[in-house]
Amino acid sequence: MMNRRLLILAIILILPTLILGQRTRNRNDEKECGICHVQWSPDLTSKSALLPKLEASTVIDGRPGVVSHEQMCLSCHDGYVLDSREVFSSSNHKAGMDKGHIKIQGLPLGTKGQIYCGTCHTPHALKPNKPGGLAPFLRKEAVNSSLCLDCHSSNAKDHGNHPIKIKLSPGQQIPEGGSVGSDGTIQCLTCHPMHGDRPVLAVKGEDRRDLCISCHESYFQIELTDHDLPSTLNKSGNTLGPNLKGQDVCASCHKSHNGFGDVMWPQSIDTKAGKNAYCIGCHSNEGSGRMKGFSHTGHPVKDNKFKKGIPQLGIKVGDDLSCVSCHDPHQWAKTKKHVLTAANEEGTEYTSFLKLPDDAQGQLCTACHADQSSIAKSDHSVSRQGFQEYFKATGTFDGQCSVCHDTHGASLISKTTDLTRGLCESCHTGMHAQSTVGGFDHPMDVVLDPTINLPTLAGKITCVTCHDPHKWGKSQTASLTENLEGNDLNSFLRGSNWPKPELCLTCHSEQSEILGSDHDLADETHNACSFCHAAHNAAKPYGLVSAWDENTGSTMSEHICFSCHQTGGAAEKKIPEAWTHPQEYGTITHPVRGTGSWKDFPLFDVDKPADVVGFIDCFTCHDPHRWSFKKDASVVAGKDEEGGYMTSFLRNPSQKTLCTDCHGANTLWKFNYYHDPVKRKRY
Amino acid sequence: MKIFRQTLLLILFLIPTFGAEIVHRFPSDMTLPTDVAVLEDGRICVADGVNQRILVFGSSGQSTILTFPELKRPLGLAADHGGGLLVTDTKAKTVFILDKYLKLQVAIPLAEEIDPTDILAVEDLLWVVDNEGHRVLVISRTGKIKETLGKKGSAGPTFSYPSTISAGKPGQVFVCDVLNGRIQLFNDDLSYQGQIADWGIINGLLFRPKGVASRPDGKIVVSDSFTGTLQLFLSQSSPGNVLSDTKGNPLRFQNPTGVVWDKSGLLWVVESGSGSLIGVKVP
Repeated sequence: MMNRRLLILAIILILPTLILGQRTRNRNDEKECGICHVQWSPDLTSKSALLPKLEASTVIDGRPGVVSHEQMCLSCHDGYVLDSREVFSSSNHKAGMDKGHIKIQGLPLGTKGQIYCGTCHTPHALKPNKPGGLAPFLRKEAVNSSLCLDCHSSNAKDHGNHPIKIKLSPGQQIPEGGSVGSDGTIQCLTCHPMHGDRPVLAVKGEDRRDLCISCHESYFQIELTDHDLPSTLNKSGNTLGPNLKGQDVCASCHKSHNGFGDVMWPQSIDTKAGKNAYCIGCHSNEGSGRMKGFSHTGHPVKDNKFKKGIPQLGIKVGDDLSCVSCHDPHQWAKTKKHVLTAANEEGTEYTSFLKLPDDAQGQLCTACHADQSSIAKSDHSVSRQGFQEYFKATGTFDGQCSVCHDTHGASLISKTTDLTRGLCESCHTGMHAQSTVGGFDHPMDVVLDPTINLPTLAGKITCVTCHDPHKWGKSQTASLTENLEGNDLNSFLRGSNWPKPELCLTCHSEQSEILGSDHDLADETHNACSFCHAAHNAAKPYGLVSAWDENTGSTMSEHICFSCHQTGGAAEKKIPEAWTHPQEYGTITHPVRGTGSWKDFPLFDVDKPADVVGFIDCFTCHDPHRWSFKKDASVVAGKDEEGGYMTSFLRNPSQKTLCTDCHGANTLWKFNYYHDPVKRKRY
Repeated sequence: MKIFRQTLLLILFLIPTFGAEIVHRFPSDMTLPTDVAVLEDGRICVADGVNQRILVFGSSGQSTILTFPELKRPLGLAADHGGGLLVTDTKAKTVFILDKYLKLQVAIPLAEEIDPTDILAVEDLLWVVDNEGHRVLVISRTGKIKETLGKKGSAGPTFSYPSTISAGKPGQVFVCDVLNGRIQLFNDDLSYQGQIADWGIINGLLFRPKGVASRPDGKIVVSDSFTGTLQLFLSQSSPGNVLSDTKGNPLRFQNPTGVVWDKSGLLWVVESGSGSLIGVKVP
């Protein structure tokens, strides 16, 4: 009986053990999947099952999917199969997190719509270390941020978001812990760790400095400049801009995601203003940069595209001309020696966020306006002593170009005010340089024939009509010039004026017949005009040089003519023996008579041309510019050619003169009497 | 009589271990701590690898931070001879030897492919668990590998992700074999002595064993991080039972990992999920 009881007891007690042993035998088979799919274990129905109470993330085959619970994952990833402790301790993509407003595409969510480990991972998908599989067992390849974009596509739209899928430039480094795509391009994971205690790498609080600088080190020259708003606003007590305390230097202008424009601008911009909108947003009357408010009347900054690339300014063909064509908002000065203090320093031609300085060579401006670069080696160079003394006296400083041009101020091209003339005269009246004007000068404010292709001020002659202050002339030397004495070959003349006086003849074409005549006295420095005429500083009116002898003759015309046509003069072989005409008989000019122009029969006073009534003088009959009045004759005189009644610089044939008005039939006799000494003797 | 004795033992084995009681709970700011070691002076060290440090607890639960520049991500701890501390660092791939003042004395760099999850001082040698290598390395204190033990597998002296290692009776070493769901026994001459338990999800079996600790009276406790339980084995050949409270309810922990007995017979458990160190009184 006793043995029977023991037998029953043994059976009761041993049977489970036998069953357990059977299960042990089958356990290896179960284990293959059951190592994770614990819910498939038949042991779960046992009262001795130790399955913890877990709120399953999913339902699989109608049963709670314990397999995908975070605890199941952690049971291996706690460092004792794989060390993912940092992942599981992270708040970034944490299991159980609410998906919020994110639209998740093609990835499973938990029973409550939450994100769980299995949302992105499954042991049945990509194996670890597969190319592109940055994390193991991802449901989808993470190549080119594809996995991230399934949920965060709105953060990857072009414009307003930091670009992805772009190659790193040489020298750029990604932040520690970041990764690039298989093709070496920037991905979401370059900056954002999939897991971790913060959503972005290398960020401290709101300070992204260490993150941004890893790739954009060169831009960090902005620190302590006026554009370093977290510093400058804080230093100024910040009555102007947003509160950027604790934020990085980039924050004032760039949002990594969901910004505006193509530079991730933090606030909305006027897209019609193009790239300039970023600048104008602050440099307006209401903006935080209003102390440097933008009121642009100078250099154009819109509606122009570059027709050629400017490598030194980083400009490519087709780029829009804009503020950033000249300015680099990240760099206060091209030279790195500049000490910055974030104290709203006043800019100079070497600073002011200029990409290149407007130095003595005008580097910045001549990058585009290369044809003006020769100014730096001319008498207009700011390196000249006169300029330097001027700067010293006025306490100012200007670069080669800004000394005349105010890029952000009034344009020199004005329809109402001759700013150019004023600018020239500010130096050329003897104030800061040797005076070269101020005597009898070529008349200004004269309306120029509109068909003439020379610059004017509202159609009238001004300095730059004849002069290009950037180019000394063909004699420009490689070395700096100083106080060069000008002549017809240079003198900042806009056009060629030697040996042929093309510039003069552009307007005075009717005088071109002087060329080759006995009055063409051009030599190696003078053209045909400049022996008698000086455009500036002439001693007499009409641009007449003072080379004539005032002791000869008694009128202006006689002074001029007899300067040469006298004994010892250049034209001593052609000294008229008789020339006078009674001055007491006044004659009415052609215009007043209504019978022609003044030039048909000019009359004179003693010292000037007569407008209404004058007397006959040398130039009444002679036009020193034309050997013959016959336009169709081949009468360009050879040197020393003997003249006749058709030539001899006579202005008109006698029948067109007024002689017969007074002298009637005796005109010819009188003419001979007065003009032909030989014939006079006959009388 | 023999049958009766065996049956009685079987009854004892199957009766859940009642009366276990949590007597200390030292919360902290640790993040997924892993292993625990009791120093000779009674201080308790816990590896807080995520935070690159080790916390040293006093008897009342106050803690001090132990860290040094070389420490990257400690995982395994063990008391060293002479009152010191041994540390394995899976990120630094290094074994650190600290003296009784917890000053770093020696840093033993390991090969890149070695994944050192735990360590045990056996006489003059160090037994280092190479988790991903599925083996145990026996190295000198200068880092020279003397022996290797095991390879990947499920039978006999093979491993599938061994995690921790601890001493049993004199000359005996336990290695926790995570994915095989068992504890493997070795003599200090590397001879294989069998296993404790097997893989499973019910009482007596191990699903994710992480820590193993042997008390001088022969009782062995194994932590199971997934089930959140501690299994008590009265001896190496006894089936395990989940530690339960006086009412017979299993004690549950949030991801228990490292376990160690102190000199007073109190069991210290690292509750990784809560970042706590828990003292358990085991009958």
